[in-house]
Amino acid sequence: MSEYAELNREEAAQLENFLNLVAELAIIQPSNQVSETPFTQKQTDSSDWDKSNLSENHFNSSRAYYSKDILSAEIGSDEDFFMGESKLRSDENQSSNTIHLEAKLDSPQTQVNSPNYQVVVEEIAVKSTPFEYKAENLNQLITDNYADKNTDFQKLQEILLGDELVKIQQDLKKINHQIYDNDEFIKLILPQINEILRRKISESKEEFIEAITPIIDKTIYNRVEQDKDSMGTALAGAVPAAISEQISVNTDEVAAAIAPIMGEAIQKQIELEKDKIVDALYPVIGNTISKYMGETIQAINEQIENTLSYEGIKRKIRAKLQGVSEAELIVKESIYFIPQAIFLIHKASGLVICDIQPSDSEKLESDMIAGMLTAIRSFANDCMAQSGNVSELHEIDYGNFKIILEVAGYCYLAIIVKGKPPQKFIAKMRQTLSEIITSYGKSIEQFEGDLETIPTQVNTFLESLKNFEHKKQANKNQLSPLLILSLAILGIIFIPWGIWQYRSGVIRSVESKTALALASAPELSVYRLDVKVDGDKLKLTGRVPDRYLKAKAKQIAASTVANWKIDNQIISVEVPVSPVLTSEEVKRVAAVLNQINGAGISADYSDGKVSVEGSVIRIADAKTITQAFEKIPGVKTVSSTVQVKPLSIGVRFYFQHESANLVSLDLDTKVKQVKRFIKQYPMHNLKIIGYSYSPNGSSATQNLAIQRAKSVQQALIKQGISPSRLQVFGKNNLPPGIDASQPSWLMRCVILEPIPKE
Amino acid sequence: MSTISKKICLIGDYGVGKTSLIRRFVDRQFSDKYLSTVGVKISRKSVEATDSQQQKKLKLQLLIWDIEGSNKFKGISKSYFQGATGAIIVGDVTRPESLDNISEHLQRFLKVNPQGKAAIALNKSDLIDAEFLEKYRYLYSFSNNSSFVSTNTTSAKTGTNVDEIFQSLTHSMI
Repeated sequence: MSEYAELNREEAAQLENFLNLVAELAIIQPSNQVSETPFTQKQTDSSDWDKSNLSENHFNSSRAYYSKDILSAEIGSDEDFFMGESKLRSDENQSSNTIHLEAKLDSPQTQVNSPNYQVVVEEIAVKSTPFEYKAENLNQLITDNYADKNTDFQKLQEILLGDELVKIQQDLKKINHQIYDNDEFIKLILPQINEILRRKISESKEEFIEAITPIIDKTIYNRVEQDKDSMGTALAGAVPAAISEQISVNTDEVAAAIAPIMGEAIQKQIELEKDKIVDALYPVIGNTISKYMGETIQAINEQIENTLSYEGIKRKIRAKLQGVSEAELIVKESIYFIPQAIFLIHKASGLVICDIQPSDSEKLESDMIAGMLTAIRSFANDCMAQSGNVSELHEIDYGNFKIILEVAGYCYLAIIVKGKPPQKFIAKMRQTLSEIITSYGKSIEQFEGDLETIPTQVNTFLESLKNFEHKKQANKNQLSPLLILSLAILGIIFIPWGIWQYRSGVIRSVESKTALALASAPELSVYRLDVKVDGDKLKLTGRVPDRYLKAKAKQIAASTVANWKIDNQIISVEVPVSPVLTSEEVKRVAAVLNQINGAGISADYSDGKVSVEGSVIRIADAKTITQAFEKIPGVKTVSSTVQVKPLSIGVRFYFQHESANLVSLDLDTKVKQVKRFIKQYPMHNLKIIGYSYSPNGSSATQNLAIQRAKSVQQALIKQGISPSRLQVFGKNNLPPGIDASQPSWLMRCVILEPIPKE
Repeated sequence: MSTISKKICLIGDYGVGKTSLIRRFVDRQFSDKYLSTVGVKISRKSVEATDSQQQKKLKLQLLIWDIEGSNKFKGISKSYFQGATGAIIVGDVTRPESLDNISEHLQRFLKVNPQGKAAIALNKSDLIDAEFLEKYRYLYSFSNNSSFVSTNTTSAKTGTNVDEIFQSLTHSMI
């Protein structure tokens, strides 16, 4: 160790280089070299100091140690390398000394047991001059000093490396371990893997893509297998975009892909949430239905519009007879009955014998339909019909359509109809089929698929069925015999009834008209008169009090209905007048007669006799009174004791002697009395006659008389009496009823005398 | 040229490939999905044939009744055979028991249609070796029967002999 310490600095630097080289070699050397390293870890205790001395002594000569086995070539090649490198270095550093190192790293066992074991030569050559290998010299050296050198080399190794060698070996081991142990290697490169990938991608993307392309689908598939949910989550965001993109690129493909599951998807959705589907389809279905309903309702409206038509009445009767509502019948009629297609089908084979379809619409696949119908028939007959019973399929319904089947011996008729077929049509269909079978049964029986073997008449027959609807229209205008019969019966019943109704209507109108006219006449209104038509005469019956009214009634009737003969059966009867009524009438007449000027009468009635008392002013009035009472019904005789009394005023104004002034007392009483009189008899004027008697008859008395009359006149005028009603006279003679023997004041007076107005 | 319609039945055990043969013949398609036929399915195909006697061309419309296959619990309803001019009786070469039933099917058909013609289709020929096919073809020929037309090994999958068997049956029916 002391020698080691004595090594100068330069040598120490060289050793450092050597160490590095060793480390490098440990990585580069193949695995068999590495596998040997564990054996070299332990140094032999028998290493000799002389070896190091020896090597120092041979500083100037170049040496190499070989193993004598096959490894030599390998080592040799390494030596060549080192030699080249040494030369290179020697060029760089001419002045430095050459250090020749020989090391043998052997396990103690191998060293002991086999002297010709592998020799590892490691060399650092730092030379000032070029050197050469001389195999002979080397061999010589090996043979001569092998044992010495071995120990020497180990010693030198010890000196040069010491503990470092162990450390190097440990590092080597660690590195190997890191590389070849999977876990360790992964740990080693793990932190860098991202960076590696990133750099690779940024450098050449295409290459990277190419590299992973073959496995990408498998990768995704495996991942999906492993964790479907997370894969789903990862892809979820891109799926809608992907689908929309694909739809825009190629709609058909997407449609074809989705189509097969559409039905099931909808079904599933209906299971999950029916309402959503209902809502989604509502606008479409609503429109479809409303369109259909609109058409149907229109048809119903038309049906209702003709409610009062012949059809309408017929329907009403039919509804009653069938016990269904009229509405049901209307709906039934609204869904028109139209034969869509008629097939005559061979019963056994299902081949079409005759096929009639409207030319304007799309043709149905008659062969397929016929085949399927035949199969269905066969199936139904096999499975449904119980043994011994022969039963047939008559109808197949689908939606608005119906297939009516009418089976005969070797063929059957299948008619596809829209709407409910009327009974008439069924009957017609049966009739047609039986006619076909009767006439052409043989050819149908022998039918073997060749349509030419079927007579064309069969077609003609079936065409007539197709035209059923048109015929029905034509038939509408012809009346059925049943209808004619019922109309005749109705005619027999209703025509006379109608005539009678009319006539009685006329009669009623005549009768009522006449009766109204009679009632409108005031004289007759109180009497009940009956008007009745008797044959061609108008018979009037009833009772009236007299012939006049009877005649009046006839006259009114004749004028009301001019062209009718009048049979006047009205009876005029003497009605015994009620004494009460007569008595009241007498009183009434009496009251009326008292209205006559100056009349003051009273009448008494008993037993048809009226006795009248009182007075009248004129004789004519007395006669009038008698006649008036005689006119009252029930009055047979009138005994009148009416006196004729002229009108007078029992008022006389008296005057003082030789005076024409009225006595003041008279002004109040008598003047007012006169005034009342004048007012009472407006039809009379008043004659005012003044008297002034003097036996000698002087003119002075004459004036006085007039004066007296005038003063009364004035007094009356003052009371508001019109002067025109007052006439003034003066007389010198004695006043009437006064003679000369009587006191003279009675002679000095004014007398008032009423005179009728002219 | 008038069209003559003819009814043909395909008869055989379940799953021997009756529907597939028809599908191949009519639609030129094949699917290896098995869909059991319920009741009857009817297909139509127009073909042209030459009447050998009158030397004239005929247009034939074949109405092909694909009748559901029979199994040991359920026979075929004879009423479906009625009125058929020809029949193809189908067996499955991979299922020998279906081949054994061919003779029985033939008798049933001829009982309903004594004048009818019948061809035998040994189907699924793509699944076995040619040497076996020849053996089967020989085994299931009924040359002594006047109604018998031919026996063909067919494959609905590849289309082998499908048109031929229909063609030979059609020809025999004229």
